[in-house]
Amino acid sequence: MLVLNPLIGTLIVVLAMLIPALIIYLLYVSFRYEAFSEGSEKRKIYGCGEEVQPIQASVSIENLLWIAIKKSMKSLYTYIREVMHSGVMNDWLVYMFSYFSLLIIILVIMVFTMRWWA
Amino acid sequence: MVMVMFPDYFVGLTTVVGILASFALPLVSLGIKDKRVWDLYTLVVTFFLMTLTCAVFIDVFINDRVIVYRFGGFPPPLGIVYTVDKFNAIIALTTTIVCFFIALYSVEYMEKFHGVEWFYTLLLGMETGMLGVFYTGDVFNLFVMLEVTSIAAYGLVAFNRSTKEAVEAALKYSIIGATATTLYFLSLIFIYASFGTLNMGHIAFIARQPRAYVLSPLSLFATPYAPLPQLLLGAIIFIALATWVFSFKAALFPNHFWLPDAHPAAPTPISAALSGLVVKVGVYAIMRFLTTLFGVPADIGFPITFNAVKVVLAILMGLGLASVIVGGLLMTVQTDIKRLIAYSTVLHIGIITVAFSTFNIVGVTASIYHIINHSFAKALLFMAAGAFIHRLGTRSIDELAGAGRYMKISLSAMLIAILTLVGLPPFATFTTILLLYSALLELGLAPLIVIIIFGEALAFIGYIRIIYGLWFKPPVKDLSGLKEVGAPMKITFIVMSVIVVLIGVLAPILVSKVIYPVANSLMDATAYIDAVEKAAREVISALMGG
Repeated sequence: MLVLNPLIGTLIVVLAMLIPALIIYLLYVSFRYEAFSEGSEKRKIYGCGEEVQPIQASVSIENLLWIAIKKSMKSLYTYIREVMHSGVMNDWLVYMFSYFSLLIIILVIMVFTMRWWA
Repeated sequence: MVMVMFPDYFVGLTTVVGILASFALPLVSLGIKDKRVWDLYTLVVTFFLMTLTCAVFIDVFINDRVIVYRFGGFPPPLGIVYTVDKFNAIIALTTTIVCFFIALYSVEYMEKFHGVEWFYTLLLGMETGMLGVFYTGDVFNLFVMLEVTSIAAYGLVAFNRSTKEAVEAALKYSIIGATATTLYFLSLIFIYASFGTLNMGHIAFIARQPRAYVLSPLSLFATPYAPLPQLLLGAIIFIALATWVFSFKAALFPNHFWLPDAHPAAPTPISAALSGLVVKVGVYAIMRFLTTLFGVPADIGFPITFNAVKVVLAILMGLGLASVIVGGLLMTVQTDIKRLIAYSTVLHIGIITVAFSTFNIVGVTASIYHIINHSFAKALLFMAAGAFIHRLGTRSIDELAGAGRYMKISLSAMLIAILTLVGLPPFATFTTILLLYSALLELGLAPLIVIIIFGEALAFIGYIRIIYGLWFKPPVKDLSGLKEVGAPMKITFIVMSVIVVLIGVLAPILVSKVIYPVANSLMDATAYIDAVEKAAREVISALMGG
């Protein structure tokens, strides 16, 4: 009788879940309705996320400070506020899963090069 | 020295009392529809939990012991045990003290809300969940208590369910949170499949056996465990998955996105609990796993596991620095006071992570000290900001302009919290940063200090905007009728401010007499493992008539 090693068994089960998920995703991408394709998320109104406030046309100290900070690192702020912290969950997942993949890849490489690391 | 020893069941009693009290409150509210009774009920329960954790803390410190409480009398690793050393004792005590003051603050703050009985039910559930996470000595039970904490937190974020912001924030938080806890469950499969145990002390014991086949510490269960490559694979996958999951719970960059949405959307007492306490659950678990479980020096354990821990620590250091910068940058441009404070949490979690990632005793001391300091200061800052929101009904810094002149006690509390968080001497963050610099210099990582200073400088601009707005800016509306908050909030501010100041002023004594021994107990798991093994042997010996 074949008795699966629990660890290998777990890996097989996880992979077995991933493969149908991938197939379903590919089917979805192939057949999805055009209107829901590109960038539809961006058009939705969100209650959360980074709010871009218009700069008031006054010269109070606070506004000067605001302008100085915003202008001095404009591209950085544009990226951090409008691309990274967009308030859209799909955008966040790119960063979150990049970190996840990095962890997994590095540690799996370590396992396969065990002798060298040890 | 005076010997003070409390019964071990005090440890188990915390979660049992907490969860029973939480579930009993809706029943109580069916019979007694009086908010004052619910207030008193919650205050009594939170005070009782504070007393229990204080007794446990005193016992662990004075007797220099690790308490192992066996639920149902089952010996570890068969049954669930709560294992309390100095590290989780002090974090649990911090949690219950802050929760008590949050309950006191809520007495006044929640006056205008409906469904207060459910608010208190979830608050008690969340506190119990956190205590369970901190005290448990079992990685699966940690998952269960993590779910208790998380589900209560999702409910509390959605408490203002008539606002679309709260519903959206709670949905985002719960979807990603559920994904994270599911991944942690997956990691448990790997650890159980390879190590054959879920008990933290037992896992730590096995990780310290430099042999191809590892035997159980108990001859009664002497079955060979997995061969070495399988153990290592299990350990490494567990480390990777658990690190990701708990860096989500800790809101460490880039897993922090949910925090600035979720924390402001919740009622202010909950924002204080989430920012001051709940994120520490993630930090605690990362620290526990990377030290007690797998932080085995290469000469006594598996070098590959230790190398994996070192790689993860290097990644965490990078992410900690990124958190400091992103948190600081976004603090400067916020117009919502609660969102600004939420980004400050991202920054401070970064500081705690960088300090821990140095993995030397000075750095770990700094991280533990900052966990405690930040818990009190951040809760105070949120609650002080909540006083203005409570009175004026807005979170916009511009609309709160000038309000500090009419609410001087609230403003003073806020100022103390801010001075603490920016790292001004003699407040506690100054000592943290000083210790962190020493730890980085010891590792030859001086350039990283510049990044932390830059992040702190950006944060300072953010904090200045709050104080400037509240005190110096002319009001945008008539504030002549604005009054200071009532007695429950005032008492909370005064006592919490005193605690925050004392944590800073007494830093030399606290660090050397309390925090340093805590860091030592975390870095050296010998006492932890011995206590679990002893607890198992006692039961087996009793069963065998010995």
